[in-house]
Amino acid sequence: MLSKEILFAMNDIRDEYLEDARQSILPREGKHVKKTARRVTRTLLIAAIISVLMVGTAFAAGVFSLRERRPADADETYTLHWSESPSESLTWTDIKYVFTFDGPEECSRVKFKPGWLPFEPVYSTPDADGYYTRLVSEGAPGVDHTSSNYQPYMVNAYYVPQFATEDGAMLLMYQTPGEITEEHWGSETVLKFTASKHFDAIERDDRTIPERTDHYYFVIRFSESDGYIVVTCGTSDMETVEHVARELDIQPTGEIVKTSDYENHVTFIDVGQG
Amino acid sequence: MGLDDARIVDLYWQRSEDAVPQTVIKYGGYCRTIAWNILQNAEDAEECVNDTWLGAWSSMPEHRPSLLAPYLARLTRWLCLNRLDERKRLKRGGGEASLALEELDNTLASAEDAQRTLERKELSQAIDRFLSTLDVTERRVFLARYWFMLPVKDIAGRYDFTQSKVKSMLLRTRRKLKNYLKEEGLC
Repeated sequence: MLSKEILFAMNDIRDEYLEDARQSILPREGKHVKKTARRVTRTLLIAAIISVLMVGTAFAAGVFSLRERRPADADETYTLHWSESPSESLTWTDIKYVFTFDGPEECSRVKFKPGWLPFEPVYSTPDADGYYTRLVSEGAPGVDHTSSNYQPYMVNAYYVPQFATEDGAMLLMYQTPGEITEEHWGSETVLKFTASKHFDAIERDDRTIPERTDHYYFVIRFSESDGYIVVTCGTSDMETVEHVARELDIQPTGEIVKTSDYENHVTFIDVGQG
Repeated sequence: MGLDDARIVDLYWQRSEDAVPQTVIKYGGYCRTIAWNILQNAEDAEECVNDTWLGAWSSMPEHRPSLLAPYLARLTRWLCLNRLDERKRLKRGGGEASLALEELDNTLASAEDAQRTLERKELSQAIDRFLSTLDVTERRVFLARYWFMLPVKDIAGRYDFTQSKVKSMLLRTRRKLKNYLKEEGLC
């Protein structure tokens, strides 16, 4: 098809046009997400009803739990395999931190609506009611995306059924967490921590790039009744990341997530993850 | 935050094990978003993004891109389009790529016979020249839709346009493209 050829051929357009288009779709101004009183009331009412129904269902089926959280062993590795390419595998080494979970093999997928954001997300697409399944900002307004603040905030949902196997785990691969504090927001267990990564100085021909340490902020909302793990993280600061996390309206979609849906039972949640 | 592009490229040239992690930290979200917009499938998207890092590792040294964002974005997009092609989902599958294809098909259906003889490079150069004839906003909207595969709704929100306006702009630009390619003897 010519249309296909055009899509492929467009790949090689000049950098200048590509970068200009990319920059033009980055966030513009900070904004509060608007919510009308009627919509908030309706959402809360629906949330309350669904919450009662879901809690009852989940407890009938069993509860989800954080089995363990710990620094990874120095020689700890995780290997990923793919059924489409059985001869290929990928081994992750030098893991920084490990979260493991137990629970039923299925739960409801969730979606979330931000009640507050420091500025608009990039690329992320809400549904008709304003809910997202993934939310990411790749740059702050007025900040050169290529040289700073590369990911001020990101919200992603994970599910215990993915990890509820003997070899399953949710990982921090490159960023080392400091002290992890545990709170409870309603029925959710919340883990908050600042992770860091140190970069050694690099000698170049004409200068020395000094060593430095970058910090990444995480707020993890884990539901023992519903099995979701909503991770809000970013490079902004803890206050911003926690504000985003606190005001997320998390709702079940009704779609069931099963352990068998996942080919691999590990993932990593580092800021800027690919 | 995040290393500057030149330093990341240096890491590749030094064959440093930090090269890929630093790339993932800085551009992981960007490439993943492109992959998701095209494939609308988390596992496929993750695989293509992982292949992007492999592609970057394989191509540097030799290449020394001054800007990593377009370099990595091209790799990701190329891999994702090939993934779609391989699975013969170009017309059937979900995702913005399929919708984008349908829209282009409606404009360019009459040119189907010519496609077999087209050299992709020639077409690419023609499209690049065509883009230079557009005004800035037209070009940005066109690329937002057909390069980044953003939904019309998102494009409208990004530029403070109505969705109708975006659709109209895209329709006009597709017609211009069709005429341009005809004049160039490519359609």
